[in-house]
Amino acid sequence: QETCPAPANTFVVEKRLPNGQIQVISNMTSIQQDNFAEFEGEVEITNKDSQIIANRAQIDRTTQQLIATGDVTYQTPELSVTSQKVLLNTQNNRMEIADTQYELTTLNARGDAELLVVDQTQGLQLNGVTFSTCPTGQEDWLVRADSIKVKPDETRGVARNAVFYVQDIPIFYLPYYSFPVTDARETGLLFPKVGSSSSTGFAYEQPYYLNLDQQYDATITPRYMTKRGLQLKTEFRYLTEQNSGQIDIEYLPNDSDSSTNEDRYFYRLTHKGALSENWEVNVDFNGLSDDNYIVDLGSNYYNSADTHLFRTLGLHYYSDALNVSLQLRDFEILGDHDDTYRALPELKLDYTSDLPAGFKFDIHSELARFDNANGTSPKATRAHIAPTLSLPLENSWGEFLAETSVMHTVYRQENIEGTDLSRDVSRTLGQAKLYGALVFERQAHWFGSDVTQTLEPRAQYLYTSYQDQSDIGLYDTTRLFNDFGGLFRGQEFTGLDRISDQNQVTLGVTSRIIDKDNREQFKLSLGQIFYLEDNKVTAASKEDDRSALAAELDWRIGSKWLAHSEVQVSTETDKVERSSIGLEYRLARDKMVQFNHRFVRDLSGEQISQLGLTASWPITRDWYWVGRWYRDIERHRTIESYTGFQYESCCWALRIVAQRQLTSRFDDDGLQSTDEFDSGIAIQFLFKGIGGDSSGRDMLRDGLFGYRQPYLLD
Amino acid sequence: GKDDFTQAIKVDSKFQFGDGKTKKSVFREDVHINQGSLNVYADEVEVDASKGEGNEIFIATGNPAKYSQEQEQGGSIEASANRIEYRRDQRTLTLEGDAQLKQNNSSVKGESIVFNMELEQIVAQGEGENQDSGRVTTIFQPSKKSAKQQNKTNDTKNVDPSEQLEQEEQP
Amino acid sequence: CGFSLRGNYELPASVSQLRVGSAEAHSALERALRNELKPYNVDIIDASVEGHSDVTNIYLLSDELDRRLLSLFSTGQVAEYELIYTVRYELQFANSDAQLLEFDIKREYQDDPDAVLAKSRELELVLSEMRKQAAIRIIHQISVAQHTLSNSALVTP
Repeated sequence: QETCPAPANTFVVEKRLPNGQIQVISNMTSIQQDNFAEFEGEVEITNKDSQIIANRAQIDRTTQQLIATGDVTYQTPELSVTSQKVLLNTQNNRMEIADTQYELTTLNARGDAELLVVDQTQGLQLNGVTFSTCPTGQEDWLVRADSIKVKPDETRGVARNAVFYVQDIPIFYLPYYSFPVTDARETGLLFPKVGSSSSTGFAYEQPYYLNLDQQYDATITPRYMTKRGLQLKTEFRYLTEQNSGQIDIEYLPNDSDSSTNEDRYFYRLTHKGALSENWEVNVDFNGLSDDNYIVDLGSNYYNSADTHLFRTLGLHYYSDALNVSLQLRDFEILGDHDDTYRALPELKLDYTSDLPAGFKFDIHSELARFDNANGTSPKATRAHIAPTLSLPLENSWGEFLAETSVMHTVYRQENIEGTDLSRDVSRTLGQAKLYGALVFERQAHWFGSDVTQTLEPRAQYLYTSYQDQSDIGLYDTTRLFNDFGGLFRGQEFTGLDRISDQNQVTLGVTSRIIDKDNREQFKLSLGQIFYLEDNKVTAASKEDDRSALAAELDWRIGSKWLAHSEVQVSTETDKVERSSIGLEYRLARDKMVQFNHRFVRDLSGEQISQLGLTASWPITRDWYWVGRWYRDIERHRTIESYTGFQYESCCWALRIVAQRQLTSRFDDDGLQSTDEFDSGIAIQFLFKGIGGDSSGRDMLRDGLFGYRQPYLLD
Repeated sequence: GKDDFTQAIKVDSKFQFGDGKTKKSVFREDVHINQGSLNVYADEVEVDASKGEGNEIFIATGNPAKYSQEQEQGGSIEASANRIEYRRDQRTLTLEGDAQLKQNNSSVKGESIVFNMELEQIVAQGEGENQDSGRVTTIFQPSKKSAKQQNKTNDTKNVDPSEQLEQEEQP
Repeated sequence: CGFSLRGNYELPASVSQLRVGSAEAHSALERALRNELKPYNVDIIDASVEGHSDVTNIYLLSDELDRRLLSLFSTGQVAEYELIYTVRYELQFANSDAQLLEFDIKREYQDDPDAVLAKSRELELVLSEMRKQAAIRIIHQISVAQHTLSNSALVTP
């Protein structure tokens, strides 16, 4: 943006004087009885924390008063004030300045105030105040308030009877308004959001932030939508020594767009608490009124394409050798997948110990009770214990691991009439793993500069014994997503209900090019699993004797280009099973173009072939543009098109976003439509510096394919 | 203190010239004048007694010339300047040229300082406009005498504009 | 073809002692880092111990896991996610000032509404693998930073 004036505070700290000493420089000084002093002519009064410049000043030590008059400037590192008269009572360290112009350097905010009071205990108070972060003279927006108070050591200021003006037009009135004072990043946009979309119609959203206490705060956001009515979104956050968490409740009474005018709600509780030195509890509990809530009303925590919400309660015990976790894991599923299992409860116990000569002994054990949302599917109680003895060795040129473990699992299954599951099952399997990796290096030339090239071969032999598991139900087991990262995992399924017999060798090799300041310029990895025997566990049976060849490439081409690719080729059919290619041209954070293509031959019965283009480019000094275009080649349609323009000025920013994206709405009988789109235009006005930070939700991370949802890590 | 002025004045120096007619005498090199608690040290002192007893004018010059005296209510005054003029009738001390004057709570530096001993009033003038050189610099020390008063409002770190006239006793 | 076993990029001698701490109690990343440091037989001091300043310090500031959409099924529901594990930590060598370092570990992950419990276990498995990768990356960055620090001429405290 154009050059914004930096705060003109010239009070330099190192001019400081020893504590308590005051220095006055003036053209003329007269002192009576060492008690009453008068100064004339360019008077500069400096002390440890502040400086006063005036035409005349007088200090009376008996009445403890300092009065400075005539073009007075008062400055501290955080504040600079100009006025005609300053009165300072040194007894209670209270200063009053009338008819002032002030500037808060930390906030880069300025304005004038009929009365400015700085007091040791009360902090800063401005009465009859105007407040803006725009350069003086170009106040595109300002706040006029009866008072603004900033208490000492508070991170937020409070304005009373505040009216927001944009170019002298009053926009809205807030009887009480609290805003961040320090530049500590305050999350959440606190300024009106105006927009329209096919699912909400015209929408206006105005958040109110309530700073309840040092440790608690709340944000209440009424949102009016022409198509649906008035929704209320509330968020309550708490952060104490032991506990931190957040409660979100969103409620929309009788949604006028839905056929049955039903009420719609979403709730979310996240909590993390330390019960003691070793015990910790965490909660991630979400729920909503219907499957289309997120598609229709959006959410900061879930993407409209998500398939489920978490409902997890966890109790954890941590210590060096022993970790125990007791969890209740349930889910809110979107759509009609009612035969999903949940673990109510699931107890895990992990013990680890170091033995002499580098050996390690670990025990992983579990006890879980699986039940199902619909009453008819099998239920089970499962106990599992897996002691493992391993010898991990590692140094600069290599790594070696020998590991043997025994896996013993016991099931008690119910509700199994009409299935070939048996009531009591016991399974004991043995596993042995040998893994070795070496690192070779040589000096080489790469595009004219000398570099270090590495060659890192890796090999692993894995044996797992066989036992028929067809009488065990599938509770927390499904086939694992296999990519290069998972090749050496030695596990084909998640969970424990299927442990496939294995007699296989995995080979892998990686080569890197590392430049002289140790940055990786190029990295290529190849890997494949060779099955020496056919699997007997039916779920794991495979037609061929080798896994797909997995490859991964990262290449920094020059200083601006970056390429990344992952490919899996089935050596039997020589066909690509899965591939992703990404090419990025990046000049700066907001000056980049990225192209990517994804292909999956068969994913849950569908073939995925998708093209993506993302770009962000400054148009003029103040305007920049972000565009995103995702094309589903398989079905010849565009699944997301997004274009956003942002105008940036010193103290405010305007963002206009138009987007059209595929939505996954469920129709009344729970089936998902396959060609329903949601399109919308949103205009967002950001006051910079107080509550609305300039990037807001950075447009590169906006929209369907840009937005990142947080997971809660326990 | 005030009774200094009733005491005898002793002057010693390396050279001394007296001129009976004009009643002026000049003392040179390591001149030291003493009257009670009042002391003056200078390279040269000229005493003009032409206006009779009690109206003498002492002009001391030095590099710098120094003056010190005890005060009634305790503490002392020290002054130095290139030229110090002491007029016994008006009981005023005029310091010219790189003048400095220290009282127990404050010290003043400037081009010219006039100290009226009777009224205990100091008036200091800067010379030209330019920054510190022609300007008067006054420094207030945290005063000792009302230190006990200060104990209750100690120094805090936040926005505190006061100039802390009082301060705990410096250790 | 000129390849030979890699020389000692192992943790440099000066990093014989290492103080490891994290902003979050019971940080799983800290456990993974201590585990990966074991074969390097480095003496690990707990962060709570007030050490002198000539010990190398690692302080884990934050680790976050985000997911970003990679591809959609025909119904518009998610087919593939990208898991982004972001680690921010402070590295401070003996009597030199702390550097703030940050990196991402990315893995692909596929969702399946018919096996939500199983997929949440896969997420845990992938997360633990990403944490192991992050721990190895931190150890590598220590030796790289120390390598550049020690051979830059102006190593004066």
